[in-house]
Amino acid sequence: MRMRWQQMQRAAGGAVLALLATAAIAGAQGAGPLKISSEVGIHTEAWKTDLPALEKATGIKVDLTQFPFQKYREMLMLDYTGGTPSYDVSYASYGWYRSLVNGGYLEPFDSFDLKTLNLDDIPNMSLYPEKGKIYFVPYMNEIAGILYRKDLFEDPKEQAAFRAKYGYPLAPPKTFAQYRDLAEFFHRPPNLYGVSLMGKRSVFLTVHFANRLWGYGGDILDEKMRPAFNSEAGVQALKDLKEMFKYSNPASPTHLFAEAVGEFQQGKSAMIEIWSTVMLYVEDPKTSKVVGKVGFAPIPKTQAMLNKKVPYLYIAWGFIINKASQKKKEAFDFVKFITSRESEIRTAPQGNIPARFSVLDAPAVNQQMPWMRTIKQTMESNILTPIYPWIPEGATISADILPIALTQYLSGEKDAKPALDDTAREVGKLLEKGGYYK
Amino acid sequence: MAKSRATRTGRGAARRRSPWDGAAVLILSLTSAGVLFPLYWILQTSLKPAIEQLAIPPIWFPHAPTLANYATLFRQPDIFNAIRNSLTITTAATAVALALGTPAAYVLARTGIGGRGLPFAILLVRMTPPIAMVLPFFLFAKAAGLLDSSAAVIATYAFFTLPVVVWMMLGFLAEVPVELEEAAQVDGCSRPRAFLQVVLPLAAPGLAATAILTALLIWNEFLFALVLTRARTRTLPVLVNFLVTQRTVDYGLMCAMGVLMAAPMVLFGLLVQKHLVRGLTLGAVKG
Amino acid sequence: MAERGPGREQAGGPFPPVPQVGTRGGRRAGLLARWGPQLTLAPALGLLGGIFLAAFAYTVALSLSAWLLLRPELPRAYVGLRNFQDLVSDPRVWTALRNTLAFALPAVALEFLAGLALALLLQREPRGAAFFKSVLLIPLMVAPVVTGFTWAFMLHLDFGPLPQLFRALGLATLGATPVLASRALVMPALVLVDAWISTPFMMLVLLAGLQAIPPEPYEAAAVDGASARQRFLLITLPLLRPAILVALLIRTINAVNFFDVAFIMTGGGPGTASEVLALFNYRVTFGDFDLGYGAAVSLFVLVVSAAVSLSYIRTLQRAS
Repeated sequence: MRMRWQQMQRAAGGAVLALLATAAIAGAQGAGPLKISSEVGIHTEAWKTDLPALEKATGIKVDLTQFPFQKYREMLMLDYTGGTPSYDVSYASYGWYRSLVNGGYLEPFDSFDLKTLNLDDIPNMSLYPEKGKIYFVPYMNEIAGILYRKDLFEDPKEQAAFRAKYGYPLAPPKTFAQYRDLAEFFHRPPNLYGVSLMGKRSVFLTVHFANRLWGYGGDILDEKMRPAFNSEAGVQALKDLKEMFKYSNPASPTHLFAEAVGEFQQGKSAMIEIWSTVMLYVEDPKTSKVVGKVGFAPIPKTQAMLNKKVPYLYIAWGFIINKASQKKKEAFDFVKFITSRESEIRTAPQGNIPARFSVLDAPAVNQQMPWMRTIKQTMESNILTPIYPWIPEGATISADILPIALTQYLSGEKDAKPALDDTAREVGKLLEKGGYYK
Repeated sequence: MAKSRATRTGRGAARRRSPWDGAAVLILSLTSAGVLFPLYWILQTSLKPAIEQLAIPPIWFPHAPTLANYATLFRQPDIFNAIRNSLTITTAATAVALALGTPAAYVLARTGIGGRGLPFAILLVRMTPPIAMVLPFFLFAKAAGLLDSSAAVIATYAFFTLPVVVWMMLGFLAEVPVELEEAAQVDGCSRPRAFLQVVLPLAAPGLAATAILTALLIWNEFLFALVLTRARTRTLPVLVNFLVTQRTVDYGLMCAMGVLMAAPMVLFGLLVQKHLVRGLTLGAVKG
Repeated sequence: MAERGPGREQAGGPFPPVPQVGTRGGRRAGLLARWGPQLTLAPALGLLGGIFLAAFAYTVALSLSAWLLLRPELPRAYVGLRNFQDLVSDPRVWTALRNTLAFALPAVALEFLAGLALALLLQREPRGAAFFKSVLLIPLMVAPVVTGFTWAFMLHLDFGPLPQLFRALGLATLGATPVLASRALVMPALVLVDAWISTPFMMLVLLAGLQAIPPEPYEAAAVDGASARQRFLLITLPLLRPAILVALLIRTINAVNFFDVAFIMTGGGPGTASEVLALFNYRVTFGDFDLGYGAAVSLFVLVVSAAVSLSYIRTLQRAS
């Protein structure tokens, strides 16, 4: 009887070990489809629609795992830097891939036939090479902008009232001053708000700030990598941003992308300061009440810079290949197919803002979405600038640290200059730790 | 079996009816209403059609209740996978924790090894910030190729709930009088057999309470599930969080998700409430 | 029956003598009898202790090094106590500590008082006691993820019932403020949500403690003519001490590590108004990806938890 007890324990121990071993073996085997990670978003849904065509043309099968945007960056960092690779290809933000390159986790596209990718067709490609090699191929490029309600702007009664009040015609804003006037004019709570904004502590709030910071001639970091956002331009940008919140939903400080877009889609606001992808959301009859009523206008400038090129927010998402992948050639073929001109023409109407200029101009795309041409023109007439400073810590600065200063000021905890100064100190320490000031 | 003091009558308060009794019922009713209100809110939102969800001011009771949100929920590609994962992982980890922790608690109860220090050491484990444990666990799992494998998650949860199991079972097992198992051993039973056939049945309510509490902790756990699971082994809390942070707002769907996550544990807890109450309190007080 | 349990010592030793199992079966049985307890303990405590020590050692080693996950090309150097020096001079740490205490102390106090009141009411065994106990238990069952989402939803200015309720009660300003974006209101809101979740736990522990108090002291007090208040202060509270200690300890440790709900409801905002230690730790580890520093912060949180726990234990022991 005593022996049975001991035997039971040994058996239990052995069972646990066996279980672990089996799991390890099962986990290590990875043959089969191409493993891809991506975010949950409309652009991914767009390229997903071309997967059947991909399989037909190349035989490649895809096993896709999606993460919500808020969690995706940390999952990506953990998965790529922790050792054994979980994915062959990942669809990621331009702000995230450089630390992976520096760690040797990514395969350059140069290892394969780079020419077949036709990268000249993609704007701002000069930004991406690391040590002369391409590690990131964009699929989606989009720019910041203001979406506005054409039906309200073209309404004669509104036009007359606006002209009477402000002394110039009602039109999409070209200057920040006009933008403010329009927001004030249309702010008629609780049924209509002037503008939808995203005030919760996040990178979205940094977008609002950067739109103005750059418009006023400032920048997030200077050439020596020192924080520059606490300059006069920064202080002014922050103050003007707070003013705009007066003409938005009082709940805006708790809003992120979903709430702001939802608000605009329900017809509750006259404008939304956002980026071009939302044009696709507002045209979706399943969720939008303003289908066909929305126009796209570029972010305004100051009077002085009206006809000059300014740094202009653009965001790119694209594909990276895991260096440890066993299927690198397949990964390259996948990227080549999905970012090809033909594929992008097919997938743009499904929910993408294509990276290729030729696709933005393609008649097949423009017929349904004429505003794509406006996007192309805006991109050509400004200095495309990423939201993240172009260093590995860039995403941390724009998404994690800067929003702290912004919300501290917006919530009244600190004044604009002290808030920006304190945060500048924190950014400085981060960069000092990273060895930028040696 | 000796009755615990808790079941004896005549504890502190007088038994005559007093105005305080009526007041007690009133206060408890109001408190209960306050406690239930948030759950009522997500339940009723989950039953609202889309137009009613975005009504301002909000509607407190659906005019046209519908199960559409639940239909959408169950059409989500990962939902059944997540339910299955949560069920298997919770059951397995609870079983492992109980299997390892109960004998250990028995030994501690009968022999007093470790004295005062051991319980405090166990408390120390509980005091460690979970985030400090996340990184080593993640790195180990990744190195062993165990990411997205249930084994890693189950082992992690068993590890974290062992202190709870030991702590609680220690109290329950100490309650079982030694005389009974001594009698069994005099009759020729080995110690382990006496444990299994005499002691455990007597401690069954405590075991049930411990099992329920352990399962509860695991079912609701988020941080480790987030880091250790991927598509294949994703559990409900992670899926809930993912759905809630999507790019579009669908309150009905999110509330349906919340109801789905909360309902099993709430129902389960209500069914075995008596044991759970006894378990939570006895384990705690004796500790 | 004598009370048994860890740390509880009675005269003559707490535990009964080990029965004479070893006298049966000879030498092999003797060995097993002698080491049987340890063998049974081994899997559980070995697993627990081993893994914990390994993870703890790893964290300590990490806290003594610099590992920036964003800069994998930089070496993971040993930097000695530099992370801890940074920690001491980092204003963000002290803000987080202040926030944590500003959250934990009111939350635990509120839960204690409310829990005690409810326990006293339930002790009278009013009608429907079983029903109330079931219902009041429910918040403990709901996942923090769901709780966080639910309360954030309820506080939404447009779609939530609470602002509507505030306005109906005449609290117009409160009903027009986005609570989770207000630096004045965000902490009280989190305290209230935590009270919703954890008061049941307090109530249960204190109720069990109350039910464990024998009637004799009360009978003696009745003979001496003590008032209700005197009975409560001089008999109930002192005899409740063990339950109070346990409840406060467990709750405070959890409150110091408060994370899930805050993460979902506020993410630490606005600014850093609700950035408690666990959220700050998360930001350092998964925002800055400064893993060495994050490990140092984790150890700091552990020290804070331990310090608070010890102070409770000392205070309550000294008063006994």
